[in-house]
Amino acid sequence: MRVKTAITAAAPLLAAGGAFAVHRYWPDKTPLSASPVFPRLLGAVAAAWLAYLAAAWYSARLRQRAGEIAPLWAAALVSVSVWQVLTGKTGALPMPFFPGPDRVFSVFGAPSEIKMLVEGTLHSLRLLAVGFGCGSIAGFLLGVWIGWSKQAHYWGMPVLKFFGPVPATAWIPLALVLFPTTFGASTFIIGLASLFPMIVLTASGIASVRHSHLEVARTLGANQRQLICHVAIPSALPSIFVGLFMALSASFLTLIVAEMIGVKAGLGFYITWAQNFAEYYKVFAALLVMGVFFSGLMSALFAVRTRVLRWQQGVIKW
Amino acid sequence: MVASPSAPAVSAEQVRKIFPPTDGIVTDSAGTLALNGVNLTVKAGEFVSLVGPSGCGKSTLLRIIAGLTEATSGRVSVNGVNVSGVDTDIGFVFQDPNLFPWLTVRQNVAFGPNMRGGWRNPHAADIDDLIQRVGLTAFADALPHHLSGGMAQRAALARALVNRPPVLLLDEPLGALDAFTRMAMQDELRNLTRRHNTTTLLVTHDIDEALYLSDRVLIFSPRPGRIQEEMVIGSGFTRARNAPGFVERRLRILETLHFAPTQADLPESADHWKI
Ligand SMILES: Nc1ncnc2c1ncn2[C@@H]1O[C@H](COP(=O)(O)OP(=O)(O)OP(=O)(O)O)[C@@H](O)[C@H]1O
Ligand SMILES: [Mg+2]
Repeated sequence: MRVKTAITAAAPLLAAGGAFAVHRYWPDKTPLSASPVFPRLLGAVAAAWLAYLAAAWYSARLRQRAGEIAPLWAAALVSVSVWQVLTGKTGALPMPFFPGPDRVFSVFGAPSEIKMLVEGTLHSLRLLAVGFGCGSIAGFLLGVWIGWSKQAHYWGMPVLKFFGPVPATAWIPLALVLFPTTFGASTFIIGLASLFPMIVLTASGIASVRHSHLEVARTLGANQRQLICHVAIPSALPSIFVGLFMALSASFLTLIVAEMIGVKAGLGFYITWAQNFAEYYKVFAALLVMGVFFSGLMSALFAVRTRVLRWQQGVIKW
Repeated sequence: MVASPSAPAVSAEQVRKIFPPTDGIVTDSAGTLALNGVNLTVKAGEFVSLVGPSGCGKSTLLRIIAGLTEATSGRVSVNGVNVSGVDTDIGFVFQDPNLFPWLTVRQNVAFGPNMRGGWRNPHAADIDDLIQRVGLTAFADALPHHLSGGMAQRAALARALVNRPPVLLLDEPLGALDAFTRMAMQDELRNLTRRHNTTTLLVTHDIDEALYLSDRVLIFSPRPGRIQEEMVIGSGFTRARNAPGFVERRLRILETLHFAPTQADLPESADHWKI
């Protein structure tokens, strides 16, 4: 048991060491200019893990958590090493389309590239915030209206059923005509992409509020507005969050498409731009940044959801 | 709100209710006749119980008085005003607790006062007191899905009582409680309705409960529901659960409901006869 625990705890260290050995002592097929970022990163991961273990020595909760995540970290490091073997070390995957991790991480050592990636991320974030924000707020309000009012439902649903399934990106030509700037046009498209899932799921959540809850609230003295705000919306929140998740993923997709087509900034633009110069390692670097960026936003939304829907039994895990 | 102490607080005249035919319920083509000419008056401050077989329309009658369901024909008035829509002078405890699952027990109880103007409401101070009376102080901050069925019922009772409604309609509010908690709750209910002179209409399946709490007991016929018999308990009645008058009245109610014990059963105590 103790031996097994010790091996688990040391696994990420061993994996980092192995990855470093592969990187250092296995000669590259086609030697490239060596960048120190990748080995330093491996060193940093190993050091971070050691620090974590040291902290876990004193805390039972951290110790348990360390046991849980150790295999994952080890597996991630092994995968990176395998990736390096398949690319730079053996050339099994063709260059320059599949650069090794040392090449990809070298991007994060170049100040000019860092600047572009940071600016690109910020630009994407701004576009996303405005588009997703406006789209989901509008979708929420319209959804509440359609879910609550019989008349709004009657007139709104056919429109939703007809236009809802049309991908937001199909509106790009129209958006470009309607808006003078590409920023405006892409905000509109992203907003549109988040609008429909939000309307549909908010409306269905509001419409399926338990009738008996509304009756209780009415006998307790709630007026129409209070019924909506204090009964219908809280009980529709699980459905509203599903809408938010769908809206967020739809806006990620639309954001990148918009940036690859018209917008001259952002992570999507960076990818197309790097591709034009056949600098595929930059494409991969941008994909890594995108992964961190998008999954960070998703996790943030999940954290909010877990907090807000504490009252719900058996919440979905992320 | 109460016109005069002797005027009826609740009155129903010739109330009929026919539910339209629904899938899954075998009826004649006209639908389900749930209530057939119910006449009823409850004086201000009076405590009246309704007993009757399951499905005879007791809940339907309560819902009609509360304005949640419309009668097919007949007249219903509360405090002299014809019922049209939900009247917030009426407190209603539903057969299901129907607590809001996203609110804690205290927030559920505070719902009414919050809807009626938050902290300015003079009754807001009652919230913790009521939670304590229904024995849920330790669970005041618990969410409904952590409560047992009986606890949820008690929370629902507190939620309806906190508004101090002049008229209280209770649909089996203590149905899920064990015998001892139930007796304690009956005492609380009696004290509170007495103290605030609350007009109360209680639906119950427990004859002892009806006898113990009420000034009058109304016995419903099987569906289509009608009031078949009325039993006045009167103020001189000893409410001790084993007093001679108590047992005798219980037997009379059982008889009306065709549950009278046969001669062979009689030597055994009839104490545990419930509908
Ligand atoms: N919404 C409805 N639609 C159709 N029929 C209904 C509806 N509500 C009640 N009924 C019918 O009306 C009759 C009386 O129902 P009700 O709920 O009033 O009975 P109850 O006396 O409260 O019974 P219990 O003691 O079991 O609660 C039943 O036959 C039921 O099927
Ligand atoms: Mg009922």
